Amino acid sequence: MRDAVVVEGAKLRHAPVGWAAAVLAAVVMPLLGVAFVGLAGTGAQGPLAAKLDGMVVGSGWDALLGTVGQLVAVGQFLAVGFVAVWVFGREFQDGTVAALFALPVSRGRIATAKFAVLGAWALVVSSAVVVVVAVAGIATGLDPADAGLAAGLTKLWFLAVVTSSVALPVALAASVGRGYLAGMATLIAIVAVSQVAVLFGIGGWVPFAAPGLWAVGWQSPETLVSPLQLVVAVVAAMVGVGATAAWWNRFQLR
Amino acid sequence: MVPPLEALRVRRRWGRHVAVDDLDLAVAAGEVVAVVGLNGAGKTTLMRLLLGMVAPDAGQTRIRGVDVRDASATAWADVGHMVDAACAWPQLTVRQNLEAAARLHGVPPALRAGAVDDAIERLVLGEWADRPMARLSSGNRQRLGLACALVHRPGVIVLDEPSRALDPAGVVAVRRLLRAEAGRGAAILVSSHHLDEIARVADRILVLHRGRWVGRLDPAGEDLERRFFDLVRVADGVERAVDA
Repeated sequence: MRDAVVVEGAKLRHAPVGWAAAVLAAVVMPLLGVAFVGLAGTGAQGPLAAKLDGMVVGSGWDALLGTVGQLVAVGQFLAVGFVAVWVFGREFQDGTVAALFALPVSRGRIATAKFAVLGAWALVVSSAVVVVVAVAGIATGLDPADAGLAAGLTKLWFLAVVTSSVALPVALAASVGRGYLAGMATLIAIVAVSQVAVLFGIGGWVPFAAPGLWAVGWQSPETLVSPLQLVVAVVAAMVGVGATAAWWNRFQLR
Repeated sequence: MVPPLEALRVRRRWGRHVAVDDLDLAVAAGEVVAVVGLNGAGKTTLMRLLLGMVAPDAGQTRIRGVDVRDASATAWADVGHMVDAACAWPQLTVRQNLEAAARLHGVPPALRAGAVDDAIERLVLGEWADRPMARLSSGNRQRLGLACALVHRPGVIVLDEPSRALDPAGVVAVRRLLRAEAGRGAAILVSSHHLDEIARVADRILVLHRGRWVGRLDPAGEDLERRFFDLVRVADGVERAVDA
């Protein structure tokens, strides 16, 4: 198992897609949040300003963390989901999956190793998000000694981690669909379905929508997502991970 | 003695097409068995069945006497193959790919570096050792795939067209390599479209046509191509007579 993790780690470390997704999630999204907060504070007019009015609520660290939280809920989900589709789907797309048969390490363990590497990558990216936000916020003049900053950054990190976990099950779609297309289509469909679920008021019970709704709720007087719903989201994600590993243990080539 | 690699009355169909039809096969230790046939004859399907990539509809395939569906990690650690794809990834260099293959095949840590260096030398990949696989020529990718299949010096080797895309020097290198592996006791199954080349490597040449064995070719014989087509034509004639 350890050898499989080392090999999967090497494959992701040397792949441009992992680095590109990490930059998107850990740098672009937080800096976009900083830009949005800055733009909202200028009192500008226009369609973008109107949208930002709904997104940027409050001031100081609350406004920044709340805004970045909403962006992370989408950006992190897409970044992790995209990399998960690549990690699993590419083996089928390039045909290298055949080489994963007739080995002393089972394909189920190889799939688990892939998730272990994805999980570690997502944790690093989530931590980088927090660091970038903190540094960017301080650079824009926010008080580094703010009493609620540590709690706010911890909540943001937790959001990034939970969002990452609910993105992992798209690996099952990439696996069963035997390539990128099914995985990417599933990723896009999840985003669409989540939006519809939120519109109908049941987003909290949809695992893929719950983290984003929770982030929106940080700046709302009402609780949009309960701790139980977040737990359900993570449990559902782990069921998806387990189902993927089980499928890998049993599938045959066509 | 139990053959290291066996197929026992194995059958597999894809929809209405019977790819492998009631085949028996035994490859002994130290033997090179070649399977030749036209495109779609069932060579790759047979190899996939032997490696557990596809389950048979009937019959059994075995590694050292054990059904491949029940084979242990130890059994699989002694198998090396290149069927459909190499155990290699484009973003990794030659050396990194060999290290990955050595790890996945269970080579102990203390022996890994030596196994990788040995594989690079045997397949003449030294000049490209630090180049990503994506930037190798097709011939060198083939050499890398073979190196990855053999880095752990397996006792059971299954190779689908090992000389594909190789230059003449590569063909000679692979020929010598396979004979050396057989010489140290490995059971080797290869498929090929190049009859003259495979005759220089194989101890036995079996002809597969429409999923069935239709005869053998003598590796020391002459005009193998004509004899191959004679076997295929006879098989087709028999089938037409049966169908009629």
